[in-house]
Amino acid sequence: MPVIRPIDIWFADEVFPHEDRFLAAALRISGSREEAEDLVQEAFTRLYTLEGWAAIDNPRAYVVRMLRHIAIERLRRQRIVDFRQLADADHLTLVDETPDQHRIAAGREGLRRVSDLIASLPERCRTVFVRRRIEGESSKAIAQDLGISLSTYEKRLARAIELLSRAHLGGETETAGDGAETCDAQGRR
Amino acid sequence: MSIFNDQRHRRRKATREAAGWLARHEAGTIDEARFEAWRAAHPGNAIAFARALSVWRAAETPSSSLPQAQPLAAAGLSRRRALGAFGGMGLVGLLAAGGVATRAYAWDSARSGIGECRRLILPDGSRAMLNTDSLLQWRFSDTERSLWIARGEVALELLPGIPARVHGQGLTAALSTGRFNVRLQTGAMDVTVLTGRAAASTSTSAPSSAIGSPRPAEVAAPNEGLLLSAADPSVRPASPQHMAATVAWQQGEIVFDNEPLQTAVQEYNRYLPGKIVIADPDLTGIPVGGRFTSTDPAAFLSALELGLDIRATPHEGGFILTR
Repeated sequence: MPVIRPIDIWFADEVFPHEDRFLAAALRISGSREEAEDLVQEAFTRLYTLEGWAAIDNPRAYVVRMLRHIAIERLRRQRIVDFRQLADADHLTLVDETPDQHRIAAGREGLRRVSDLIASLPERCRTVFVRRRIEGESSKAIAQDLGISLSTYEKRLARAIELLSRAHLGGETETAGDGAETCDAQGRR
Repeated sequence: MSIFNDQRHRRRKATREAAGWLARHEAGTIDEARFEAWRAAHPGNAIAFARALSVWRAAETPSSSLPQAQPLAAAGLSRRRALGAFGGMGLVGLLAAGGVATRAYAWDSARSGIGECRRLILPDGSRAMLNTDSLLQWRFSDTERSLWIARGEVALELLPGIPARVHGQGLTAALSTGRFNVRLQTGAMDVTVLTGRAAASTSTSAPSSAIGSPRPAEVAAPNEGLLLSAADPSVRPASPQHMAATVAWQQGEIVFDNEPLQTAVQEYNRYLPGKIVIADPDLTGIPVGGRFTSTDPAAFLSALELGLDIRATPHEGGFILTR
């Protein structure tokens, strides 16, 4: 099995760019941020085990519908349910109706955010990330040029990816303000 | 909360590990078997890896190749506007159907319109509150306080004094000092006791079948309900949820606790000038729960659509529910 499978690419390109939107939608239906994150995670988990993912022509709307259904399943397990929160999630249905322009706009915003996030990475992390990802240099060349071992290079790159994915979640803003040391402080957690 | 914290912690760990795997993949040092084992170990790992991949892939596209900005679609506005209009409708109905207190025969009376809630003070200082579409009449003599609920539902707060009786649907209950919620159902009167006592009263129309010796009357205590009907009166305990739902209307709210949709809709319709109709019989049994504003069904209908995929179509001032 390849490391990066088609479903991973599909997830990366079609699902995660809308994660902020999913989280916002989930926040409207749930009581807390923790619960909302959990709701989104559950939707992703179910989506990942879906056989027919390739046939989903509008993944964003699909995930929003899933969120809705999961929220309802959970509500039904409670006794007296406060439906008012659910009613506030009016915009959930808006999402279903919006055509492709919206997706493009959302995607653009996502990309702009990623470049902002890259700019705010600790310098050592940013350097390896930009040279590998944006400029397409080989890993060995970058490590040699920087005078670091491949293993150190790998850790800096991993740290960059980790910070970006965490920031991408929107919840943790650890990227900004972290010193350059952070990049190499791999095993501290 | 600790469950959520654990989950959050696990997600952070998965995020860190996923970043490590992707970096090793990029550096060409990945051990694929170990990676696969990690990815298969927990669904959260696969998701974390795809998330790492998504930022990786998103970082590549140079911004110049992006498509031009497009105006955002304004779809769905009409629906939102429509819901807003329905919300306003409840208010109009409420204003139009103002309550009128009049003197009728020897009885005093007070009524409330649909969607309206009225408070009033009875001659002895006791209080009554009329729920939507209700009619209460009363006559206080030297020996008895008689209350007659001709229609709807009334909350009573009785001060100490001469005996009090409440009549409805040809049935009678004797009430002590205390707080009660009395609601007429088809062919029945339901008295819920918050404080005090409510006793089934046999004396009113007194048909008294020949042999029927006086039974010990059924008496309901606080947190119990006394149901009077053509059958024998019965007393049943009321759960805290039931008690909360019973008095919710006094705060302008309506509470459903796992009621079939049909029951919930009937309940809501008591408050609405334009009724909700269930068009699809398959929907009637779906259990629903929730707390809503009684005079404005917008939130309720929106919850139905959102939660159960049931559509509410406006029709002649009301709504038709379909799937």
